[in-house]
Amino acid sequence: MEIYQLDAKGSLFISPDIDDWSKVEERDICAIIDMDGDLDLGVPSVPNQYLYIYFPIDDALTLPDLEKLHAVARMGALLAGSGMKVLSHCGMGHNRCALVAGLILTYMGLSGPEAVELIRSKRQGALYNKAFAAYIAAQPAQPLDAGPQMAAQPAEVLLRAIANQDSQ
Amino acid sequence: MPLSIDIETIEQVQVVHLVGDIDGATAPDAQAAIIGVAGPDCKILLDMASVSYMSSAGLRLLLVVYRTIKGQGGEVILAGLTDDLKDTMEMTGFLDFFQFRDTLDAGLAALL
Repeated sequence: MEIYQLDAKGSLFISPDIDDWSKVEERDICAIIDMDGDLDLGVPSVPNQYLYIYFPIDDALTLPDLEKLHAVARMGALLAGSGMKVLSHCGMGHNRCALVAGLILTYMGLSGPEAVELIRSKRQGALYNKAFAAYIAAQPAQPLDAGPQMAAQPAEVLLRAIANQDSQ
Repeated sequence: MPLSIDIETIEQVQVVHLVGDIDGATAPDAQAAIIGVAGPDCKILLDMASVSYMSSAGLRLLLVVYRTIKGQGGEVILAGLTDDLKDTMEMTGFLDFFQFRDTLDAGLAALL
């Protein structure tokens, strides 16, 4: 199993089925988008380790549910934008994972054609599904509004805030 | 489109005729059928002329078939790939290790 880094920053990856979780750990990936029909074997169940998003779709010349697909892509872009490393994977690492990754890239600011070109340059044979490739290519750059940052609060800060409320 | 699978024996060659799409739903049956006729030193010709689309599940099937047949000292040839399938296999690098022929007759001649 090989993991392919897509963006220069190293926040978005694609791969075939995960058969070696150590490679996922080596990359510090903490969010998995699983587009394959089977749940991955050996998904670590350690608390607070992985965010695991499961959205199986068919690799066919028809598009999946676009509302859900875009929801997953927006979530992927938000996670990548907040500094987490995101891996989108399917069975062979060619089409389904690249469909989501392409949309994520458009939500990160690339145009559709740029996303297709980038993915194909990183993974031989990616997006050979012409329907998937055409769909991504038709997308505009649609960077997400950064909005208010929801930075994680250290537990002690939150506890102090609760204690302050209780004392008032 | 569902996949139909027919197997015939021509001399010592098992000819597997595939008609339809090879995708996640149909690849397991195709794999079982092809592996079912693979034995030591087997010669298998996959007639792909009527396969209109092959998803990544189809590529995985070809990989398993290739490894199984080669592992038993056998030979496998793909015949009649459409231009789309040839593009797919070329893009993904699969054409580098598969033998293929434009027609069924040419595939048979290569195996006999």
